[in-house]
Amino acid sequence: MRFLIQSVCLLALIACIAPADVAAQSVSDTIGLPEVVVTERFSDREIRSTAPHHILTADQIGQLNALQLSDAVKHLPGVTIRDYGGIGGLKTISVRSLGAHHTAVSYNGIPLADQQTGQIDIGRFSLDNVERLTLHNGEDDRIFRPARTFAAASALEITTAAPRFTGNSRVNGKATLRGGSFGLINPSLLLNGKLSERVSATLSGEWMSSRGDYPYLLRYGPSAGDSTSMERRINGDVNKGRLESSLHARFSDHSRGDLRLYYYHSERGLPGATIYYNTLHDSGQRLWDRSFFLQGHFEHAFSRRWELQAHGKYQRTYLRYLDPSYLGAEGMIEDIFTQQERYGSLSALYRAFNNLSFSASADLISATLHANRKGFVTPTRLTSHTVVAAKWVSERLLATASLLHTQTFESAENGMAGTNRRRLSPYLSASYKPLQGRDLRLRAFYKKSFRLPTFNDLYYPQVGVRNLLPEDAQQFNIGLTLGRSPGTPLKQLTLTADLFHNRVDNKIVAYPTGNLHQWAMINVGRVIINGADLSLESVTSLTEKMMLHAGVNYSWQSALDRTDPQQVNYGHQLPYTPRHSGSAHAALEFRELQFAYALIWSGARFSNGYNDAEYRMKGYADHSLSLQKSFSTRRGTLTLIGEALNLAGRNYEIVRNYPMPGRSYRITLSIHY
Amino acid sequence: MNKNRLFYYMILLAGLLLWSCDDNDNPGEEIPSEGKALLILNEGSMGGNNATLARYDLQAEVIDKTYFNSVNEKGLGDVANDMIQYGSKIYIAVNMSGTIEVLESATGRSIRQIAMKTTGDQSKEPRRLAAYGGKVYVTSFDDTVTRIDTLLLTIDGSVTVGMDPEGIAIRDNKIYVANSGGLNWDNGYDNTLSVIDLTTFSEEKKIEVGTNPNAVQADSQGDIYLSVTGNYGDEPAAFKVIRSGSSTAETIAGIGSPQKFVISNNRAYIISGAYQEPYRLVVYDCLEEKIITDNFISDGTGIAIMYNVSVDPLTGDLFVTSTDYVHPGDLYWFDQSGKLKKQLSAVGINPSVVLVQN
Repeated sequence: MRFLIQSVCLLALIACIAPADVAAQSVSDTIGLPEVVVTERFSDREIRSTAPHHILTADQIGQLNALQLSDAVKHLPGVTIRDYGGIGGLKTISVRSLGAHHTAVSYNGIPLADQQTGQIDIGRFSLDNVERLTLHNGEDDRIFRPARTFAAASALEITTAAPRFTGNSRVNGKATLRGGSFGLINPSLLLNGKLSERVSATLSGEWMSSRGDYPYLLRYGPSAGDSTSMERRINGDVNKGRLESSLHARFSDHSRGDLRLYYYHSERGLPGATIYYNTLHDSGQRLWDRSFFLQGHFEHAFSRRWELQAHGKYQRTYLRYLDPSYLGAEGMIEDIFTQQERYGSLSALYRAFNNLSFSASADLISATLHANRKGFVTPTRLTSHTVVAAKWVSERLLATASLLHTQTFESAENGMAGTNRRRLSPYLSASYKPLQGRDLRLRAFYKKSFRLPTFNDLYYPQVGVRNLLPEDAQQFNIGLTLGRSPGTPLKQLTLTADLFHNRVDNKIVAYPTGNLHQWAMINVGRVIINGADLSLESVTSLTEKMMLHAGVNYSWQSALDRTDPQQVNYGHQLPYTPRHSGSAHAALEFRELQFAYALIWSGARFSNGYNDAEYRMKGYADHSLSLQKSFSTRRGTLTLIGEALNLAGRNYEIVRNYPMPGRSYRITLSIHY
Repeated sequence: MNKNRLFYYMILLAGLLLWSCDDNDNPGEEIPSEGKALLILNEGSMGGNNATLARYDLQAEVIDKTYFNSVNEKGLGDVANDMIQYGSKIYIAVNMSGTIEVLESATGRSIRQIAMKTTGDQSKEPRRLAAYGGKVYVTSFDDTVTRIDTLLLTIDGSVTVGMDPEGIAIRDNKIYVANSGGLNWDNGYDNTLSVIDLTTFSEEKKIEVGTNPNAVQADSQGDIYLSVTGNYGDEPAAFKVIRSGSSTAETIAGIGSPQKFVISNNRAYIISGAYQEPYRLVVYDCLEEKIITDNFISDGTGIAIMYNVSVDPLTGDLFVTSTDYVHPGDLYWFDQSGKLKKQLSAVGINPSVVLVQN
């Protein structure tokens, strides 16, 4: 309760600081009621948000020549993707150098968690049926959310398309067949059905298979004159399938709900680092993944002022790892891990005044990890998140504040459990429009958050340390946004520019405790990050029938290790963190024809925390082109897409010794019916 | 040190030199003249292909951190675990790459890359090297000791030993190999030392020495010394000796958490230290059978984690390397009295063996 009062006082204070006419102003209907679902353009949402917040819609994704989620996310400012290459290679996302553990990945409103490793392989998700991708730095301005979604430093939100029907149609959908280089085959099917006036359902499925045996040039040294050999990536094959079904119900004008069933399966080779003189290294390692979840959501508005919602989820994941060529006595390693998660959340929204609303949410998560190792601890973590939040909306000022309380209860079936932790995470943000007629906004946010030690950090045999502290992150951001709609030919222009200062304390790192075979996790690291993100998007109508969508993003990041002045890497840039990176894209639409160009660019990076010339990795540019043509037929709209990827054909490396595929091609045929 | 003892050591040194001159089937071997440079082997990190051989020019006082790469226009490979100089050549065991690089000592030029592969074409994971009688012997994690002919530069024999052999020493027509079982830590380490007859090149017997033996060295009397790492739990680490002719390993008291060590001139220089225990360099007199000093370093130079120790047999200078296992480590060069002569920082990742190049 105290927190609530504090939040109110704080907002009152902000209201006082704001010019009097703002407070007195009545607000137009579209944004007047806080937390009303409005059909605004997403670019407007990006401009108005108090914290940087980047949205890629299905149409935009279609212009980025992307297959996997990670391909699209590489276009967002401030993001570093660690990509081990190929379709099956691990891909993790770090936002503004805070590390992958500080980024939540959510699927239709509920975060996907992996308590064992603390990071999500975003290469796993295809973009089939994705309606929207959103990257939140700090918080989403919508405060009516589960408490859990307030926890991470930043969040990547995947939203799939909800069924929509026009006219009298009761069934619609899409069928796609995609093929490409290195044995890529990817059929998918989506079916939407209107079961009654109030209930609709979707069924979607997908299969993807690839040999992944792309050729690459192995360089036996960093210099131009060093010897090379042409090799073929081995053990890069992938087979994966996804089956998903959802039910969407509108029970009345005041309540709605949905239920979603999701199943994912994959079997893939784990292509290791390309080892000099031993390219067959790790050629037998394989990974099997199975993931199943059932998640539900229910929402009810009691009155204009009160709303309530509930979320629930049950998830089960299975991971099997096999190394059949290990030189130990048994000649192999086989690890099987299963994780179970049960989750429930209750949230309430109260619109106290026209401009001011409050929310509160309480979540409970229970996660258990099983393993086939003898004497495995089998840990369970019960996490409680409780949040109170407030939001002020007026024509010129948007402000939110929240305070999250987290408590963990650790237990273990065999042996000692980790230490229980309690943390408070405050968040403050505001955006202000100083000039009446201009869509120029100034914004700022502060967030303090943390990431819990993973089950591996706490319990991994010989390495895990039970009393590890959470790793703390703080973010400061100031920025401005500008939206212009001058008319013709420039129809729309949005610009966002942000400066940020982040710090990570108590960073969890593996530390050698005597020799190479004996490591322990400790909280020693400190990282100080300063950076800037710049993003520009435009829509121009060149002629009446020809539209040009173009945009650029640029990020500058200085992410310096500030752990220990005695260490050789003190004051050096974190490994695999480019100082300069960016992306650009342009798409020309002419009637049913679309031509798209996309570029991902990165400056030099270092593969080691000690930034010596030996560890310097040259920058790279990845260009891709696509041509798309749609045909209207009696059975629906037929679309044919041809893509040419990594046109320069260089096997650049994002992670050292993990070459990316060179030039490759894809063809996609789909029909919307 | 009194004069008598100095004299005694001189005799001993001469004896050692004579003994090593037995290996005269290796052409071009001669008593080394003054060194021109230090060669520093950096193991690198697994999966990094960043093993390097650095060369520090003693005249110009400059370091070429990627000497092998500069000379040979290719990298050493992934995880270079050991290096020895024998005759006019240098042999480097590269673990994950599965190669033995044979270099010309004077120029650093690679004259042969010997593949160390299993029948399934995976790396045998070569670990440590020893040389005697025109042959180089390699322990590998596929539970073998491989023999390489130094004239033909080809593999001419292999013998199976215990699990995951590490250290290797040759003395009195026997090869001693420490079977660590390091890859089998989950189900129990090995605890034996294999004794291989040099003439028949077959395993004669196994001696139980304690859990997870690591480095092995011999003194001039034929005593075999070894560091046993233990299981990082209830079975502790220990420094042990098997006296000449005996088949039992006795613990030498007073040397806690021994790591790698080297015996030169009948003195064992033993890295001792563990997590939250400061690292020291213990010196043990193998003839007098006593600890000479608990810390060789006499000028207060602190090294957080010592990784390896090498001796310049000519001058008795010591080369101690440091590491944090992730970033490049340093080389500390000490004179015989334990005073720092020179520190080279960030020479490479996991700097290990140091040789004097003539």
